[in-house]
Amino acid sequence: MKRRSSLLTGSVASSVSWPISTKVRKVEIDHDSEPGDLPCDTEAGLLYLKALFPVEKFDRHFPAIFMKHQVYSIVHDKTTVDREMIALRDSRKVRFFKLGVATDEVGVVFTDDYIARVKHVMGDTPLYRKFVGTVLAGCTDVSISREHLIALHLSQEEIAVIVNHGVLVMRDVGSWWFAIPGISAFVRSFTKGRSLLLQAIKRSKFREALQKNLMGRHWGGCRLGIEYHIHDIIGADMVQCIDTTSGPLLKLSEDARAN
Amino acid sequence: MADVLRLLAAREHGLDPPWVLPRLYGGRMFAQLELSRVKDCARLHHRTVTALDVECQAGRYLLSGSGDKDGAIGIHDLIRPVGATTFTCPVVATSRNNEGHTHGISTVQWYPHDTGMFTSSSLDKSLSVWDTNQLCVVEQFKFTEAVYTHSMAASGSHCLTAAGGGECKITLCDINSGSQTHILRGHRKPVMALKWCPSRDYLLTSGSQDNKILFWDIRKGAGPLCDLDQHNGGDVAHSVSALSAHNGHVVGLCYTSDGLFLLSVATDNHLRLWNTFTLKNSLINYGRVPISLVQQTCQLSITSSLCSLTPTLAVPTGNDVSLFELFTGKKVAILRGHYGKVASCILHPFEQELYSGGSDRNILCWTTPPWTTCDSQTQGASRIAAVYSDTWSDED
Repeated sequence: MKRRSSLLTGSVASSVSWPISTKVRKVEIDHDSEPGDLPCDTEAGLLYLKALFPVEKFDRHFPAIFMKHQVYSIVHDKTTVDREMIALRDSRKVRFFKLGVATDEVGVVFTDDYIARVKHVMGDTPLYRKFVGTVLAGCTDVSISREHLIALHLSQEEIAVIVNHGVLVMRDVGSWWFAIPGISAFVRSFTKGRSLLLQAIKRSKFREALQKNLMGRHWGGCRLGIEYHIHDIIGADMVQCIDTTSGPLLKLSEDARAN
Repeated sequence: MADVLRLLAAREHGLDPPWVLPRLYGGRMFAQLELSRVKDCARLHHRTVTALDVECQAGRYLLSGSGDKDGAIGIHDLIRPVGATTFTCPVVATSRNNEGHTHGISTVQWYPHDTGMFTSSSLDKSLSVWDTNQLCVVEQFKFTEAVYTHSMAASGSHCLTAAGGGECKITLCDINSGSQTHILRGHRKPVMALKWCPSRDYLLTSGSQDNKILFWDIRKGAGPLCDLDQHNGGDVAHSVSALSAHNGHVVGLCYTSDGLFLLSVATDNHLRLWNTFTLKNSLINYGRVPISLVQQTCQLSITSSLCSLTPTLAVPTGNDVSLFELFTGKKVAILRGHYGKVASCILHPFEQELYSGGSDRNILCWTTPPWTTCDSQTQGASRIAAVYSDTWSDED
């Protein structure tokens, strides 16, 4: 077991140039997989982000959510990250969600965590088992249409019950987004933390800040942790990351908007 | 230097095929582009330089159009005079005030087969055909709205020019007969970008403010062949009519020289590479590319396959020009030198050179640094002499 954990952190360390927080929490490893089944770079990045996410500050069984672009700040080749993400989605290890934070941004959740959340909200009912077994397994998209649901043998009443629980949210006439119940707390703290961080950098004289200064400061009202937000703004290209002798410097891009 | 010698040795001994060296070497050179120390272009324009084109016959003349009230067009001669180490490319011709356009120029293009003729489209709702030697307008096509883009086909079978602008349709003008032959309807909003496919005579691509990119076969009158979908059919729950190539206005299109790939740029700050054979998004992530919209359209450029093994793409982004590797999405270089926003850029068809024009009214040349000639023998000897030398003279 010890050897497995060192292999994992070794692969994370090789793909992560920086920043690595010295207080990385221990990551649970799936011991049921075969010995040769090491995670790819993107998956290792996602596991690292999962370790950063403070699950205890949210509802019970709330899944660890990250943004797809946060992985760009860990693994530097964007095209490889995109391709590996699509492979992970097709192998049903992760699911994508449109969180409504911005039009392009996609949230990523591990499928097991999502299923645990749905089970907590819906209870261990036959409908829950049907939903997980047919709908989640059959459709890996961010949204689903009425025809597809009917083809998977779901009746109108069952769809209404699922929508009531908040697992499906109306998108258009006859199509629904997949949603995480109780997402509003996360979206609120995410947008608040992101704007706090961007404003702190904006207010500085040259619109730049050393990363170690930002991490060392005390941030009131930032539930998700400052390192999570730093990965977010680097990956979303809102700041440029410049290497200096005092560590990485985050410089605001000229046309960044702070929402 | 050492790796070039290694490539030369490999070619000499037949270990590498002969085409490898020029393309590998040429490709690497684009990463070293810098503001040219050897040449620059004479000052001509009084407003933003909005359109540039280099002719493909000898790569000698650079055509530029500006956003002037009188729509000025100028031609620079790029060839290096014999024996000159540094030189300024002179202006060989410029359009006169009372001729030509009354508003800013949006696109200029040389006639693909020789330099006797060129076309220009402008915001004064016209497309003009010019004779280069007399520098006068020989034909003018009038429209009801501003013309944002036009493209002359390089094919031998027809000499049609496609023009698109504020009217939401594409008009095909025949230069031979002087009439507007076809109208292609399909877009719902102004057409911002037009390009003919280099490998197919009859295939035309257009991008517009309704976020779509449409393909047209001009022989078929009914409508567009197809449009491009950024999700490659993945987003099935959404209605079909909302299929879009981008999440913003498509403002620039560029084909690779073999016509196999199409690059599009849009106001959602994304670049997308499309495979024209399968018509799918190749999902290469170039990151966020904040294009500068000085005029409504964006002129991009891709290196030809003669110059480099891995094609490089040049995009004007804000005050700089960004170079990306086409198939990996990696940013290769950022060229900083303009004092204002860059409006257009064009890569030389044969050399490793880039010309860019911006709102600071300059046309800048970017070339690879010149070879530094060094005689290593004398340098080494002088260095050793410096170590052992002392201040005592030899006579004592």
